[in-house]
Amino acid sequence: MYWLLAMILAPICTGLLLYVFKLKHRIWIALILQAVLMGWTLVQGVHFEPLQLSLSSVGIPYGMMLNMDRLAWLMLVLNNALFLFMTIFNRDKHYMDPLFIFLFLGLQGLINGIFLAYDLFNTYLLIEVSTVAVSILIMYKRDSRSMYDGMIYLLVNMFAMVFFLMGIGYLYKYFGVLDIASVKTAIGAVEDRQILYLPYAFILTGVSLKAAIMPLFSWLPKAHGTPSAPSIVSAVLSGIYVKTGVYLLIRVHEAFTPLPMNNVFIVMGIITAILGFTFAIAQKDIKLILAYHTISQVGLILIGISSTSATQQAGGLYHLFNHGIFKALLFLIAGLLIETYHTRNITQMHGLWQKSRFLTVILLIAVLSITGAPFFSGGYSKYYIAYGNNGIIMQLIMQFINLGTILSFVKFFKLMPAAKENKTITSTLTDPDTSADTKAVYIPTATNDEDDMPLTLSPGSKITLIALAALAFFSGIAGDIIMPWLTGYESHLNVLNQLQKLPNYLILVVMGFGIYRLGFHESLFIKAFRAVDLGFNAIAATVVIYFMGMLSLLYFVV
Amino acid sequence: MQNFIMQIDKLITGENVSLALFFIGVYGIIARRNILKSIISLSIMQASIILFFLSIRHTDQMVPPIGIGLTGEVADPLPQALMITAIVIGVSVTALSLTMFTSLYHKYGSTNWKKVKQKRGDQ
Repeated sequence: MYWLLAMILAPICTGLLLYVFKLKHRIWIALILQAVLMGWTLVQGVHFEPLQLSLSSVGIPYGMMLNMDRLAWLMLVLNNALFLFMTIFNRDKHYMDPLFIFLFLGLQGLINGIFLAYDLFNTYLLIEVSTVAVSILIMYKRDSRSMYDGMIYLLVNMFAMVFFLMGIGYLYKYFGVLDIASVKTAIGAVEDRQILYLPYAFILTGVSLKAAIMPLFSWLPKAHGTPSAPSIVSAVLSGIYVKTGVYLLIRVHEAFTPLPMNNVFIVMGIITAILGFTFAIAQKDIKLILAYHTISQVGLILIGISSTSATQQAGGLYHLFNHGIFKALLFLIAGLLIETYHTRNITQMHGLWQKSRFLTVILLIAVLSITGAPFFSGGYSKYYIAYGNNGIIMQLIMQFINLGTILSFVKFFKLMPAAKENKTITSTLTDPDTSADTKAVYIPTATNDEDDMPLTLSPGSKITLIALAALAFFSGIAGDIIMPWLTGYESHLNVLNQLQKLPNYLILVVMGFGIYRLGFHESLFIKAFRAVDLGFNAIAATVVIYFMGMLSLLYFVV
Repeated sequence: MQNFIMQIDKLITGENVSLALFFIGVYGIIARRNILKSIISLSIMQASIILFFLSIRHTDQMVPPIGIGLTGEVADPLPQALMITAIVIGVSVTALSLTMFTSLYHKYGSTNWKKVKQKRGDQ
């Protein structure tokens, strides 16, 4: 029972102690703690039973409670697994000082708390505090660019959370309760639906910004793709932190059952997914591609969880888990690539196969997972998100989103083989007509020793990369075992069924490469997207527009 | 005239004032380019929420929930407890934003969102 409390407090207190006493083996202590938390979470999954822990002598509508149901458990598994792997990955990095470990472990505890909290005010508090921790982590390396990014992140999130708190205030005004179950029963008993509109719009504005739903995603690439943040911070942000918004969205929609908003959110999910990959195609910065891609995947998850069918909801949840794994993996690889090539521009990276075959294979697995290839986790969960959509339009939209995902990852396929420019350089060098001047320019690049250095990885990094890649692979090929275990939904899509999806995927890949070859990513339409960069006032304005839009939608349409 | 003043008096409740303050804060955040004013607007919004929580479910005759043997209707202690926490959070967030703003100002030498953004883009 008290384990639930330990999930929140143990990481925070340990981090604080390590910060105060500055122990020598702090990373090992942190690792042991994270392994224990992860182990307990996994043991709970063997025979899953909901757990509750009352935090005060007064019972539920007035007291406080921690609650772990199936959904919260799934999120806990993802959260603790990611944090454990990230610490292993970064074990011997120089910036793992006591302060960083305190913030990092603290963030783990706070995110656990968001999933376990049973009343809305506690959720609000934990989100506020974790936002503070995240904004410090974003600007941890303190260069001037990250100052701006961290500032925007902090203020925009605080602004949205004020809306969330106002919504809680309205709920308390009407019902006098704040815990999720009592709010749900109170809302169910409401006769006049109109009083729900204002609290719903307020709460949803805050939650949607956290989940980065269209049009409230402008802050996300700044925070997740900022150059200075360590890659493990970006991985945690994209892997789990943005999912807190999705998690709250599920909870809020559970409570507000009288409002039929499912179709609205399916449409918004589709738009978010399409906008996300369009922005991703426009980018050349490797971290920004991944950050925009998170938006696209959140859109996909939203399509799944907003559906009324249990199959699609389970598919959405499973995709949430899978996306956490492979996006974290991609961010770690991106960090390694930036270190190796000393550039963030993906078009200047090439020849990864010559540098490190190991990393190429891992990258291939991650890219295949995210583009939804059969036998990999992304393909498995995308199948269930699209499940039962017999309408031709919906099928086409899903295929279109898949195509867009592949199109935005063509650049990742391209960095694996050696660049063609090298061959043209050697041919010009052997060409007798080439003037001496061009030779002088070309020789240094052709005989650059540093470029041919093989990539070396620490054992901790290797273990993490292998483990995450194995998870991404086995969640697909053994999805029939893992998906029922995680989501409680009995799925049936064995290897043979997945094989049937292969031609479809190959056609999409060929189409993706074809469109890329035609220069779509350099077209004016895409370039227009690259220029979009909203400032603070504009982002705040989108929040208010979203709020007003939600309110008018509720009053005039639904 | 007397009637009109009475009408106005009825309109000025804690709830309405807090909503007005909330949207004043929203205006400040959207329309002002000064980073310091953005932080102040955020504080105004947080203050408005504190007023909102304290004035909902409250009437003039209520007595504070302190001591034993209370007579009459007792005010709801829960929002008060919640708001003490919210004040603490609000103060720490404001302090953090101001600290971040100070270092931002040292780097960019401007308090203007637009200019800061342009300088960031140059790098």
